[in-house]
Amino acid sequence: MTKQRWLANLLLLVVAILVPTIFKTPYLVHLFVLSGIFALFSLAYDIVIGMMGQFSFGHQALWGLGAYISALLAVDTGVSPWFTIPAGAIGTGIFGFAMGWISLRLRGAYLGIITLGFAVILQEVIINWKTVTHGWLQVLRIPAPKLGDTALNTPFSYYYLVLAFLLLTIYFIKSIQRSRFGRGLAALRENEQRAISLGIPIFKYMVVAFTISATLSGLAGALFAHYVHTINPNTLATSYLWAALIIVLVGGSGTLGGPLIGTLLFIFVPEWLRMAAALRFAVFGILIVVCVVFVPEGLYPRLLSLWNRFIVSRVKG
Amino acid sequence: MIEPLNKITTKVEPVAILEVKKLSKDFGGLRAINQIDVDVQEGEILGVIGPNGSGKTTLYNLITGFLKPTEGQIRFKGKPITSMRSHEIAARGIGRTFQLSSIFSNLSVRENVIIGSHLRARDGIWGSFFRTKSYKEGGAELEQRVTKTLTFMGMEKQADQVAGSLPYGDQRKLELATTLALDPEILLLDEPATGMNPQETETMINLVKLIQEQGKTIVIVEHNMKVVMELCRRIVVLDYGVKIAEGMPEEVTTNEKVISVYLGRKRKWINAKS
Repeated sequence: MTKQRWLANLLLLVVAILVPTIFKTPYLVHLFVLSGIFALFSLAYDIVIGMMGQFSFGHQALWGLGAYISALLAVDTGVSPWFTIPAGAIGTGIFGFAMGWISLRLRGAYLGIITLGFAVILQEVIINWKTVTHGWLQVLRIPAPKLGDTALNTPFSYYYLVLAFLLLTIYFIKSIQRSRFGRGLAALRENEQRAISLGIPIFKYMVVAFTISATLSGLAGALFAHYVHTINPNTLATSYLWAALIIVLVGGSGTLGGPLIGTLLFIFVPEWLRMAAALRFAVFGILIVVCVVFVPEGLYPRLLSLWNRFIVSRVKG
Repeated sequence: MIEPLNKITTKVEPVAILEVKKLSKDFGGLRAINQIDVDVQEGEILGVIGPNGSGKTTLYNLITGFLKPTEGQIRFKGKPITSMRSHEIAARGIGRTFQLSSIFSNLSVRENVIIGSHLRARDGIWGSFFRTKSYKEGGAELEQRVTKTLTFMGMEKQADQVAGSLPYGDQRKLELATTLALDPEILLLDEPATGMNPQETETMINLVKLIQEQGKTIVIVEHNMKVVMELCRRIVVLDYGVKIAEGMPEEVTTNEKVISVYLGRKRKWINAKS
């Protein structure tokens, strides 16, 4: 990594840690907590979209499943969230493994449809298996994790919990990118047939990557559940899928910075647009379309290339 | 030093590294490959020629597992590989190139060759996450292998160029470099010289010779007879999925059946021979 990059990352880390101190308003910190959770989900989603180059329209179910597993264990069996959150992630990972193992025999639109099918089935199960999931009666009073005697149920305290998981996830994804496995994923994304002819076991790699993506999505969902304290079958709504998809496309798929920038924009631009009152979401929608049409590679890659051009011209001049 | 009591002298017999036995492939009602028997001997350069549509690429697809045969068997180093998955076959040591240059266009030349070395790379996720010593060693090892391969192909200067931006001849060289990085025992080349100018063709011929000298076996599907005559010690001729001739270049090019199949191109053949 260049010294420039290293310093930039360090600066961002320091700013991230100081966010609650800089932005004292609870509501602002709350927005940052949501940003952290959605960033985690979007990074997980981008493993399939960007790193693997495949479709998935089922990730909202993985997010919701993680939320439900963790919430139900904490509420109905009294286990500490410190255990239920990882349990939610792992349980979702197991489901994701089965989902991937079945679905990844297909490609393109077919893969999209079958993953969507899984999501719909899961949502129906959650609605109808009332004895276990509470159905539409919701899962209420989901406890926040406790540090000693203090519950982490303020935006301020929860922010650091989310930040810790997010940083771990970023490092993990970086490790994948720098590894043999990550290169294999890039290869099968770029030219599947060629990857096969070079000995790369693409089905195995895709299922593993999908499982990792599912596990992290479940983690994000679980963190969401213990923050908002109430979940119901709408937690598996496609709205969460569109959020992740927009974040990834606008920010830039296949990169680490893309989902991060995309999440900040997705959470904060609507707030800034409150000045447009009733037109708020119409304008938001138009902005999204403009981004995807004029900056198809994503805002983060575009900003990077502009930065490089700016720096190069400064150095040359 | 203790001298061995019995110095066993074995007669060096040609070993068939790849055996294709009674191979057939039907696509619905069309028999694209019909009862083909071919043995590829270790260390040789075998040419496979024939008109377009005679089944040459289909043969490659069958050998490498991209297609499943209707009948017949394929053995590699004595072991049957007919029902194996493609990537397993590649991992066993059969490398191939494609008729339409198959590279990772959005990645750099270096990254292409790194992916070629995938099976030999030692930098897995665990090592990457925990920054282990073996991860770092694996990374350095990989660097070395890649540099060696690129230097062998004469592509070191282009290492950081985006593969898609290379001229066509260099893309084909890159495809060959990537296949070499796999370190296969046998390479199946599909029209490696097609689309190249005479200079690029000459370079390709020399590279193939060098690869053979390293001990690899090579099969070449080619239309360019100059390449075939210069490189191949044996040639197999296909027509409509059937092997119609096999033997040394001189025999094959004077074979009447072969000539009639290439009707109208007799003159080209005679020129190529000289």
